[in-house]
Order: sequence, then structure tokens, then C-alpha cells
Amino acid sequence: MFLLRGGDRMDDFSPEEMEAHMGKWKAWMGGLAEAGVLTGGLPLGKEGKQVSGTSKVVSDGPFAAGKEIVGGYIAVNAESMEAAIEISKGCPIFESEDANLEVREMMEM
Amino acid sequence: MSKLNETIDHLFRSEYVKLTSFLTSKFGVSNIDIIEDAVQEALLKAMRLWSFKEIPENPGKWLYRVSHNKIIDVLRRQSKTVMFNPEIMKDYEDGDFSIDDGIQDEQLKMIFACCHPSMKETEQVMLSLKLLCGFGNKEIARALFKQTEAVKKAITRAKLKFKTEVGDLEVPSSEQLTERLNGVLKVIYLLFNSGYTAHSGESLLKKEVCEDALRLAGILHNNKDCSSSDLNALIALMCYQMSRFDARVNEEGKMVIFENQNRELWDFDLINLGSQFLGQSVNGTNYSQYQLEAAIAREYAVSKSYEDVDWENILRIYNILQSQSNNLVYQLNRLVIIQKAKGTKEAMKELQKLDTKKLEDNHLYYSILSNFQKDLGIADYKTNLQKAIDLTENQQEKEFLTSLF
Repeated sequence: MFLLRGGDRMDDFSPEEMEAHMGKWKAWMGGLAEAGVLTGGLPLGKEGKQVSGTSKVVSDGPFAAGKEIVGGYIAVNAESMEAAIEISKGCPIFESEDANLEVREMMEM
Repeated sequence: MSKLNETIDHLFRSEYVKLTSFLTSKFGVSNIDIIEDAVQEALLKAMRLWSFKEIPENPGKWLYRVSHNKIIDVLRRQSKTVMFNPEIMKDYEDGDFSIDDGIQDEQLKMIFACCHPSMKETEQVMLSLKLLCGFGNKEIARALFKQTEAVKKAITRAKLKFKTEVGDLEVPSSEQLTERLNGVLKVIYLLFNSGYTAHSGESLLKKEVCEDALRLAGILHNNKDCSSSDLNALIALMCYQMSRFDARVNEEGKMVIFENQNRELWDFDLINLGSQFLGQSVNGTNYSQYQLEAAIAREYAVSKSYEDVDWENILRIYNILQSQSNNLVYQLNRLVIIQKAKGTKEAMKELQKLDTKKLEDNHLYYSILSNFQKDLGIADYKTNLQKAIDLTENQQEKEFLTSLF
């Protein structure tokens, strides 16, 4: 599983730049899907709530600064952590300086 | 006609333009900032979502819904009671509603708004590039060869006037229409020219600017109240120029002068379309500036070879242009044609008649002067060629001139 953070400093993107950026994502994701590597993924909305503790206190979240917020996830099939890391390096999120991608194993029995 | 109405395949850019026009017509010019932000946000959302998912069948409808909701949201937060036209909600709740219905009308109104006489011509051009073509500040800066910050400031200034002076978004009434139409045609002409001037590495962007100028002229053409001899002549001019667009730059991105252009790269459909429109522009015996410029462009476009170009006829057209206007560019271009038609000596004589005071910082003047001098065996030509190189901002032209030493 790839947890995507940052890479969202695109507020001043022009429509053309947005389309070009989307094109890169679609090409990369499409390649993963075609190779049978991709098993899922979605972007997450910017706003959310936190429910915490035994008293289940509801508060506005996420608390973290922009680039620390999880902006989406992608699930892939990979032989090993190393293989997953290699796959992740092609992600267009890295066009942005503040981008960060966390690779985690989804545990299975 | 199909060439003028071709749907552009730049989905985001064209949706930006459609949505902005449509929503401005619904929510009013005073809310342009909120509208632009909402459309921008909807596009960003689309970019993220559609990166992961299929693009929906009707992306415009999706974008409309998201940006529309956002605007309502912001307006509600700004004031307790939002005044909006009940028809807006009717449109919105109507499930079959598509913003493509009547969108040409909304864009037509937006063209007149962006070319409102309260703004300076340069501001009109920039605002048109932004709101009618959907370019970002950086792209506008690149297309116009300006600094991004300067473009940003000019657009902010233009938008202040847009918000306060334009009033209701509408096509001007018949008594104002002719005058306002002239202003609009001028902006389309300037837009096209800014795209047509060759710049290295920017041909793609430049071509899009030209295509958009042609598209906007097509929108005017589709409205019978806006049809005019000048509009037809301007469309003809743009078609003729556009037909040679790809031939002007070679594979290495270097400028190719007319003499060396590969005619197989010319778009003959556009040349035919140009002739059709030039024919339709004829009314009476007076020639307009657009007609004369189109007639010149026609001479180049219909020539079978370089040797076949009718320089005498082009010179005749320049003579009429010069009698109508004291535009320096016409005067300088005319000298080049005199050289072709009558030789360098004649051309040099004409050049010496020019008022050099106005030409001191004109690179075209020095490039023509040095060319004539070189041709006449005057050694001093190098000084003037260097002046021309120093004065031109255009990298491609600089390189071309440097090759002439």
C-alpha cells in the first residue's frame, strides 16, 4: 500500500497544466493496471473529522500540516518491499518537491 | 466552416472557458473572482479524482455541479441572504440540463465583456487570454513575452474594471454594436498576432493562441448580428496566415523564411476557407485594413512557388494600406516589397524618406537597412545588423539575424 502525502501545491496550476498532470497519473496508473499490479486506490477529500480515545471525542481533523495529510492511497501487488519501492518511484506525485510516499505492507494471513 | 467550429481537445481549458462564461452570466460579473476560484477548485478536484477513476461521460456536467455548489456555498457564507436568480436553481435542478446548450451565446457575451472599452487594449488581450481562452498567468506571460508578475497585476487591474464597468453580461444593443464589434475584432486581431509571432520553443502554445483567436471569430460569425465585412476579412486573414503556421518553423525549432518554406506543409483547406471569407467580405469599393492585410496574405498563400509571387500586386496593396494609415510596420514591410518588385536601389531611396526619429529603437528598421546596405555593397551594414540583433527580443529572430553577418 502506498500512502500519498503532499504533492498538492497546485493551486496556481493552469487548466492545461492540470490536464497534463492528470495525463501522467492516468498513464502511470493505467500501466500498473495493465501489468496486473494495481489492486485499488483513491484520492481522499481534504477535510475530515477525528474520533479519539475511549470517550470517542469528535474533533475537526486532520490536524497535520498540508504536506503531512494523507491525500490518497494506492494498493499494489508486489513480491517484496523492495519491488514495491521500485514501483512507487514511477509515481507522478514526485513531480512536486514536498511529495512523500509511504510504502507499507498490507498484512495477510 | 468546420475548421472554425472544431472542438478543441483541451478538455480542462475548454471547460474552464465554458464554465466561467456560463457561471458569470448566471451569477454576474461582480462575482468573477468567486466564480474563477470555484471553477479552479472543481478542476483541481477533477484532476485528483480522474487520475484514479475514469473521466465521467459528461465531464462538463460534473464540473458544473461542483463549481456551482461551491459558488452557492461561498455566496451564502458571505451574506445571510443570497440573491440569485430563481432560474439558476431551475437550471440546476433540471437533470437534463447541459451547459453546452446556448454556451455559444454565453461566450459571445463574455467576448464583449472582456473587450469592454473601459479597459486598455493590452488589458483586454490579457483578460481574453485568461477568461476566453483559459490560459494561466504563466502561459499568458510566455505567449506575450512578458513577466508573470506584470501579467498578474494587469489582469487584476482589468478585473476591477470588469467587475464595476461591464454591467450585465450581454451583446451590446444595435446602436452600440458596430463600435463595440470593432473593439472585439481588434482584440482578436491582436490575440492572433501575439500567437503568430514566432518564438523559439513556444510554437505549440503560440499555435493554440492562434487557434483560439480563430475559434472566437467563429463564435462571432455564428451570430448574425455580429456578421460584418470586417469580421469576414479578419477570418480570411487568420486562415491564410494559419495555413502556413507549421511551415514557418523547422524540426529544430528554427525560423524558416517564406522563400524556403516547404509548401507541402501548408494547409490548403485553410487557404480555400480564407478565399471564401475574403470573397464574402467584399462590400462596395472601399477596402478595410483587414481586407488589405488578408489580400496580402492571400498573395503569398496562393503563389505556386517563390518565383511565382506577384510582388507588384503586393506592393499595390501596401500602397493602399499606407495611404490609409501611418502604421510603421506597414511602412517597413512595404520597403521589403519594393526591394522584391523594383530592386534594392529603389527600396533604399524610399527608406531614406522615412522619419528616422521614430525608428531609433525599431529592430525591423535596422534589419531592413542592413539588408539593403549589404545588397548594395556598403560595408557599414554590420553595425546596423548588430543594432537589429541587440534590439530584437525574439530569440529566434536574433539567431536568424546573426546568421546574416
